[in-house]
Amino acid sequence: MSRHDNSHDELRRELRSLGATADRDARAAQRVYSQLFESPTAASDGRRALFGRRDMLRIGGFSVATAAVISACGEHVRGQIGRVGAVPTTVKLPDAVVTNITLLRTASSLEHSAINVYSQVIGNTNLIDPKLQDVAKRFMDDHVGHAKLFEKLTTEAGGTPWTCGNPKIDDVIINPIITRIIKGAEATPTSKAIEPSDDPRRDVLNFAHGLETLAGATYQALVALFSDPALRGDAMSVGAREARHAALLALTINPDRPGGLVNFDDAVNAEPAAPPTTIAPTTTAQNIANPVGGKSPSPAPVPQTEIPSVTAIPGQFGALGAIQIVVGKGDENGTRLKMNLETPSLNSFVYEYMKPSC
Amino acid sequence: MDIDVTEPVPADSALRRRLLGIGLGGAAVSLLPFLMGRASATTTTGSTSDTTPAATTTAPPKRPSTDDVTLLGLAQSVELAARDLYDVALGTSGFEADQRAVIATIRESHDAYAASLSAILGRLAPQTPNPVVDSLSSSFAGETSTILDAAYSLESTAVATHTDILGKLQGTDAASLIASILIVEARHGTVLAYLNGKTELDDLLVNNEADALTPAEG
Repeated sequence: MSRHDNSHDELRRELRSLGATADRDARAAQRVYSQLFESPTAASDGRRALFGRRDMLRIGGFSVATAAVISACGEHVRGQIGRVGAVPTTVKLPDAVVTNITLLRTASSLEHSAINVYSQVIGNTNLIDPKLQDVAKRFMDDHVGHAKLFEKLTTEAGGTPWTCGNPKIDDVIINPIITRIIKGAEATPTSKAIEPSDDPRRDVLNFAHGLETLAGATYQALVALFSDPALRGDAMSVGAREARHAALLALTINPDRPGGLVNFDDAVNAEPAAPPTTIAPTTTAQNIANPVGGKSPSPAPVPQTEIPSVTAIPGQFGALGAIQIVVGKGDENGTRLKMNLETPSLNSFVYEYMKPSC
Repeated sequence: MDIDVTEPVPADSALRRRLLGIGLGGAAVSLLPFLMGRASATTTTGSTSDTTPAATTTAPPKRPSTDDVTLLGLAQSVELAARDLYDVALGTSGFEADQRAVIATIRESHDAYAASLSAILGRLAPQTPNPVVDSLSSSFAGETSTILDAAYSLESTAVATHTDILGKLQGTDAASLIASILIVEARHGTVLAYLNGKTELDDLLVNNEADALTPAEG
């Protein structure tokens, strides 16, 4: 028997063996199908063994995992989250990067916002005492100069100068305050209409003081954000001027001495042996409890929200906290409009992708 | 070997199958984060998006550099000089109560500024007043109006010096401190002009800022 004949024999044996295995498999499959689909009982052991609840859950989980794998095999962009199924396409928001140009545009926007406020006030004797018109004009001229400086610095830094007011601060702070002072507030389903300010000149001066303080604080805050030291010096040369505006307004608004000059606590701490004799009062007195007693000839007026007093030198170091402004006539409960002025931040920066709309 | 799937499933075989299933499931879950990172996405970029990578920038240091130490030493010497000069002024007897309260408050502020700069500089703080004290002492010991004029000039000098320093400082911690000092010293000038009876806006707003001191002068 040759080696060649021997191989043929082995091959034939293998084929027979495979044929027998295939026959057994076919018979086994037939038994399975019979048990599955012809069994009279609803839950036979065989069916449970093959398609139990757990198997169905397992198959479902496997399908989800498979879908994730299949989705991973398609086109992709690194760093983006993948999605399974049909989802509408989205438009990516522009990158909001805080650069020196962004900060310079924010600075010029703040100057333009201040200019817009003074331009509404100047010439209107209902809003500002004629004796203070020159002061307001001078302040506005200063702001125009500051805006030009920051626009020039923006151009030198390679950016597009911003020549409008700050959109966020205008919408959220300046316009609501001006409206409340001049027009009051309209009635709503839950509150009565509010009349225009009971003292527009007082409110305008306090608002101007708040804006000037805010401008100074903004430049102080920007110092830590500018990466170029030269820009820090430029910003603070303007910030110093804004602080002097605020100090002069405080001296005008608050006639108390020394309360209008320096922070009372600081004055007491400076000379504890001989403290100032007068305490700085708030500029609006309250009469909540009718302390005199007896009958009032007419209904007592609703006490109005106090107006915070202002000081030319409010503290030893420049503060970056919110500046509270209280303006307008109080509502039916005597509550005036309170607004916190905060230095521009991520939601009020004028980013490079923003386009002016003024 | 026979393969008969209708045979009863042994208990250990079911357990094995479950363990295998759990293992495969765990493997799939562990791979998901990786797969998600590579997953397909149909996000389209808007026309305004910046497709070029942002330029890399180096954040400025927080702590003072070696050069900063010299500048901050100058700033502290100016504050110490101011404190000493206001001490001279408070030794006189011509002030009204309000004027005295303001001068004393400003004196305390300059002392606080010197202390805060000392905290930034540590053992490198000079702790010595600027020589400008010698040239201004006589003015701070004179009449009230003379003192207020001299104080007005001194505050303007401090503002100019700090502004100049800010334009050179590298460390942002010290820059923030100097800015918080400068902004109040600017107010000092307005109040001192007001106390001295000035009514011109150029005076009240310190339109003509004094010259800055330099380390060489220190």
